Amino acid sequence: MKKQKVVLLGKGRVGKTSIFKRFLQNEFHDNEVTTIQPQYLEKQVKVNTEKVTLSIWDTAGQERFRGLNPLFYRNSKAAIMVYDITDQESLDSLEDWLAELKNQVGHKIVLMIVGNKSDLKKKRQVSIEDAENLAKKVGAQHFCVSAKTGENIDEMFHELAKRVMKFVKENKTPLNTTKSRRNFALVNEDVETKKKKKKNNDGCC
Amino acid sequence: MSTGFDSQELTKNKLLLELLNNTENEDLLDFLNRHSGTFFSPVSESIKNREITRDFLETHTTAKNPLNDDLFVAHNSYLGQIRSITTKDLKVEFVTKCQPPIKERDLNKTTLSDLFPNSLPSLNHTSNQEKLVQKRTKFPEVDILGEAVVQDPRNTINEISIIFISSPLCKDNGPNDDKLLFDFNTKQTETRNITKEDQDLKKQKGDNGQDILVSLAPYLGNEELQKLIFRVGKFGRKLLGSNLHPNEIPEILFSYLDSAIEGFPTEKLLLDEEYEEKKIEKLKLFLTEIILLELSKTLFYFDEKVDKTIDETMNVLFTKFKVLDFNNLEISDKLFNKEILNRAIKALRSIDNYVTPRQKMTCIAECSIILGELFDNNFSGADEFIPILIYTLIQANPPRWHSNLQFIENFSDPEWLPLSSLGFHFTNIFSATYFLQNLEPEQIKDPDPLLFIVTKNAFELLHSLTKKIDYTNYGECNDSFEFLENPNEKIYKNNNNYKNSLKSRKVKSRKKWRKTRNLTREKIINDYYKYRQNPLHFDSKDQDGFLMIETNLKKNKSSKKNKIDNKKGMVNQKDNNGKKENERNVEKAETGKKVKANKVEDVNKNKLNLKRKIEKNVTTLEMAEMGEGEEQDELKKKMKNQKKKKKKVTLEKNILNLKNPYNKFQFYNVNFEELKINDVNQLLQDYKKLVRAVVETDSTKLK
Repeated sequence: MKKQKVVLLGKGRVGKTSIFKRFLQNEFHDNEVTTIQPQYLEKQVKVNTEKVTLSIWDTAGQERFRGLNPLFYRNSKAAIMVYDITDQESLDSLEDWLAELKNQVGHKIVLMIVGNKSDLKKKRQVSIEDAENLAKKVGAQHFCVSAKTGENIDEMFHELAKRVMKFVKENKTPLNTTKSRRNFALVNEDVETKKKKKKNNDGCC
Repeated sequence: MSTGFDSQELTKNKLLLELLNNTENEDLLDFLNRHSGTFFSPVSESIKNREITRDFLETHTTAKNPLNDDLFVAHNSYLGQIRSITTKDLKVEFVTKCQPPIKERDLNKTTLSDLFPNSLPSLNHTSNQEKLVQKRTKFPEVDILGEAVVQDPRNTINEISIIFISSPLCKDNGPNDDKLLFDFNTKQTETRNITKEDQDLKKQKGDNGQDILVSLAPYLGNEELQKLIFRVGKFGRKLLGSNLHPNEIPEILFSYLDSAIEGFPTEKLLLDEEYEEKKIEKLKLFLTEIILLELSKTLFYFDEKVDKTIDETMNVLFTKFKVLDFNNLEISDKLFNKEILNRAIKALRSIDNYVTPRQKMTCIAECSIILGELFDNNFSGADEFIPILIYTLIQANPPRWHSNLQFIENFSDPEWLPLSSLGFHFTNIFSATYFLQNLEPEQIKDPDPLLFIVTKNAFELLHSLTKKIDYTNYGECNDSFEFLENPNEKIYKNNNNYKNSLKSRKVKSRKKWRKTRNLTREKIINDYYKYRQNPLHFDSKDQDGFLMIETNLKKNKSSKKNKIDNKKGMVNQKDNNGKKENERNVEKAETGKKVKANKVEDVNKNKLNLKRKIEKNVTTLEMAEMGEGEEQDELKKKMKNQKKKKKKVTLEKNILNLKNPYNKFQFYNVNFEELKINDVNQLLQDYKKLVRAVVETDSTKLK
């Protein structure tokens, strides 16, 4: 199966990068890290008998880089939206991200809503219900993970891989939504006649 | 040995003193000794009161090539050549740099001379490549002023030969290359211990495919592959000769490659790849590389003027941004490492030395991989990485940056770009550029207020040339995701070609709708009138189509109205012209009542009369000429012919007037622009009455 692109989204200081790092370091069965670079990761995940390569793109969460994020969404098949369970605001801000994602990507994608820092249960501010309600609303799956202890990280990515595979199989539309393909036979056509045709077309209606 | 330069001159030479007395440059002296090299001392620079950087010294410290006396290699791997021209009396020697950096030369060697078999007769890459290199590296020739020998201050035995030249050798390497940000305090000769990381890095670079051409080299004996390459080469030549706009080529190119590779037997190719898909991907990359080596020269700019001005303004902007430091961009000071930053800057700057989008992208990837070393295996998130990338971008200030990005974006496979690590690095640097292009004071920590005043003009110019992407309407969900289709288009909206493409798109959509209706134009127009009476009778699709027509009509409403009016007016005029004089008298009687029409009519008639008179004169003259020696019958015939001609002429005139809506109004000496619709209507009504009157008189006469 081809590579599938996944973007990591969320407010700054939420722990996106540490989830990323943890996933890289964790030993989970039959995985294979192909490339390691800052904020870019390709990892093969085995689901049942099939293999998927997830290429995971980290994005900036700080407010000043907010405008840059849409540049990263192109052709992504899934998004992991991260919030901090000790920070109510981080969950609220996810709605903005969701709207933006919906606006910019244009087609359906697999969504994951992930509450990080589940090891800090004492400081919990966000109720699980709230998060799950949001997940239901947008058709996402909710997970509570801890990047520090590694709790639930592998499960989350495994589930993600599974859903991405399912999603890709169901939507077998060609990937190249970026540019419409034109018939190359056009090249053989005389340029002048083409121009004339264009002129004629402009004149009608 | 010294000629023309005495010892006093030498003591003045700042550059030389710097080299000899600064203990940090001992390794350069060693280098000179070891390779019996020469030190080039540009006289112009040693007089100027400027700081001399280590890099500058390095470029001028050279070793002789043992095989060829005229060639030399500079300490930082530039190649030079001493050439001489002998005229009748004197011998003029000069130095040229025959470049490029060794890195690129190696790449050329491995990719070009070995790779392209004889099956590509006119796609002669080697020669083209060489031409390109020569063109790009045309280096100003530097005159040799004289030679001298100096003793090594540390060692009395060794001597250093010095050649004085008129101007420095290293100026032509980027916008401000001779003033690199950091001077090299760390000695370059220290070889870094090769660690596991380095090996990993090398592996990654290999994966990134700088060697995509090399990876397929072993399989070039394959007949099928040769045929494919031949076909693709032919196609490339066709594209070059096709006069298509660079805008249109990527689509055509990639769809052609898709179809060319389809069904290609890959069993014997790329045996180290397991998956069929990966093989095809590699093959496609290989073919694009071949084609683009040929095409990129001519297709680099979209709109040369616009692109060049954008490049220049961006260079200006970036130089002004050099004020920004780590504090401004909120980068922690721990990340400061001169050596690494310098290497990253050099990697990014080298982007303009490479030809194909893929090669250019590897430069970008190399830059960010080097920057990754800053984090020392501590994994960095985007929040930490993007600021440092922005910082390097500002300091590097790469030449032709905008055009390079645009070229990469357009000429890389849209399927492959967003899924590869190269694509990731590209997106990163693209976003960094976007950040700088639209920088606002709030995005920087304690900014210098002067900065935004100084850069205001550059920003304005840039924004007038490019268009800001609007992400602000997060809440609304658009149905058309135009941005996703081609982000470049929105940014470069001001480009005329973009506008044209939009136009053609609209036409296409209209056409499509028409096709679905399967109707001709006339039927649609009929339906349109029905639709205007009762819009509910039609489907929503049809309604949209009609709406399109309607908006189009509204746009041209005034002009079209005028056109229609003109047509009517001209019809009337035709009638008038055809009438006899008696009828004209009647007309006069009728028109006398109406002042406006009367005035118009008078002017009209005067002109008509004048014309007639002239025509009559002409005909009489002609008749007089002809009539001398000829019989009356012939005269009569000619009269008839001329009458026919007259009719024809008037008809043609009428047609001409019909075509040009302004003609009619000029005819009446009415200022078209000041004319209001009411006036036109009145004129029309007057004319209608006139015509009626004429018709009535006709009919009474007949009775």
